Amino acid sequence: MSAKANRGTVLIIDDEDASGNAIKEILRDTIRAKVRAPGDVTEADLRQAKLVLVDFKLASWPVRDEQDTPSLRPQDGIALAAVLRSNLEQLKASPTAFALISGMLSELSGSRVFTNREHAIAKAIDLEWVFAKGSGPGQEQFATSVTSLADAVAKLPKEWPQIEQSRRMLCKLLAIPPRAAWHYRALDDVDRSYPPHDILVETSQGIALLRWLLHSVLPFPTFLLDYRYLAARLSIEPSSLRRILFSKQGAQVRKVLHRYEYSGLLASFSGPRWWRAGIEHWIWNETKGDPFSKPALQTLARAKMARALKPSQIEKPVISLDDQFRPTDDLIELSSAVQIGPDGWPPFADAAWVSLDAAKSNSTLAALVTPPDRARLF
Amino acid sequence: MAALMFDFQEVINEIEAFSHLANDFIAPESRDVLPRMRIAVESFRSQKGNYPIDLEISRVNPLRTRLSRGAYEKGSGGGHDIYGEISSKWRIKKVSQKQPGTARRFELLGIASTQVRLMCQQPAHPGIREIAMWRMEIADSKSPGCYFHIQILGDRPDFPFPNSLPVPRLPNLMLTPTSVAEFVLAELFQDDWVAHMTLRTVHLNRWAPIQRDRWSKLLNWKLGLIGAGGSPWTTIKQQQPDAALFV
Repeated sequence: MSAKANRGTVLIIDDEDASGNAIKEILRDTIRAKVRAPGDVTEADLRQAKLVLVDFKLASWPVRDEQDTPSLRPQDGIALAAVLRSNLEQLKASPTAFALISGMLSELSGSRVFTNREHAIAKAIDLEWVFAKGSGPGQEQFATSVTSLADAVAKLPKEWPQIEQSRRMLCKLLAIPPRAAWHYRALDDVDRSYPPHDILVETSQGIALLRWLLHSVLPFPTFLLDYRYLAARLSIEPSSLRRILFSKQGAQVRKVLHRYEYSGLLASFSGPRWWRAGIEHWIWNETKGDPFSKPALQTLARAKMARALKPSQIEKPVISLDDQFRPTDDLIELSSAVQIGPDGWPPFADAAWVSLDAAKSNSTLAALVTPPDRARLF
Repeated sequence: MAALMFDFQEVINEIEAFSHLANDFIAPESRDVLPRMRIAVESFRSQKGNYPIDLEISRVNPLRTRLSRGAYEKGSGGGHDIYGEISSKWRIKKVSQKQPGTARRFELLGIASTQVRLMCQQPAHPGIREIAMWRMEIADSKSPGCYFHIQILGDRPDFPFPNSLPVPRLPNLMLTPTSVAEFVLAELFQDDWVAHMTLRTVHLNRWAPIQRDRWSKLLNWKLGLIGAGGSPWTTIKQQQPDAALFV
């Protein structure tokens, strides 16, 4: 059986054939996909699907519009996903994820932009994820993310084990290297991030685990670090690491950090991540126990990863969030940063920072500054 | 006498809990100090080898408190604007480990000192002056005692308390850098720290049992010593605890 076949099927539900087929075409090389109009979805479709992508706007659905009972008239993809999800248990279907796909995510994003805030929108509407519909440079990542999510669902056990075995299952699904010297440290970091162990995963067939990763772990600096937070830790400019990482030279960097790169569920969903415990282990070894020496860190990064990495001039760099509460490539000095508490920022993640100047000039940011820093605004 | 031991996980938990607890009272530029200390302990623990290291909060990058505007007296009645700087050095070594990352304990190797400096901002004079300094220490086996003690100044040749004079060694109850830091915060923010610690936060619920356990063991040890007869102080001064007192 091919890798493509192993991943099951993505069910695309769209009221417009052309739109659904366009999505299927994007996914053609990576995963099997099937397009259905909302009224044509069968029980067999649901049983086969690992991931259901539902269009948000379902304007063209005549059979629904003929119904007299409001309960039989789901008005959008969010409602339809809930209806379909409620059928899964009766169908004895294997775990299935539901995501929205729409060209109108801005409608779900309140007054903020939706790009890189998909996790917040998905959490708010009780779905695993939301994808932006459309063409452009993001298509490749869209296909990768969809495949990654469907893959992750396929890897979930049909029945989640009892809590005594749940931790072992978690280790396996997150692929914590069992023989790494930093294994227990990574496990401890995971435990401190409140993974769902008990009723949540048992009753959701493990989908709760994916939600935890998608909504609370991958978007934030937690036990996994993305390139920005890795760069800040190494005291180098995130933009220089990004440029190198996603160029031809990136393979060399990935190779150096290969042992610490996250390879568990959803590893390719939104770009590479590295185990914090592994990176710290590496830094300690390479700096000979001087893990916060700025010259030692910068020398390490440039010698082992890439010469072209640009050292940061900031003494104690932290990643700055933008006015949409998204991490940026900008580093700011810790002493001139204030901590903010945006909605959904997990308490187990590193703090969220913006510059004091930004908070002073932006009333929304100012409103979110945490109590210890509030006095510094005046 | 074997070296005093501490439990790795307990110390990691202690640093993490205190880091959150103390956040409101720490100067912005020092908010990375305790997280760094935790990372250092975890990194050392997960290494394969067993060699001594200095677990350190350096004097260059100390744990600096927020400015206390007279809050070292009740009702902020003090006349100075001061802040504290806490630095620390513990030389430690893993006791043993069956496989990397699983060492349960570390032991002290002679150096275990936490230094507190109180710095004063004086509007009438430019610059910042050190107006007080003391060290809260755990002795080594050759020390005349008492084993857990405080020394005043003693880092320079100047009077009073020049470095040639290691006395007095005042008895001490605060052992780890974070417990010393709590002591300092409680001194500098007499009202606010007490109020803060009455909030039953999750971090306090993790911090308090660790401290309670350690205080109980320390005080019970001292109680046992004075119950043995003789002059209580002279007895305490001469004795060293068992290496496993806190584990």
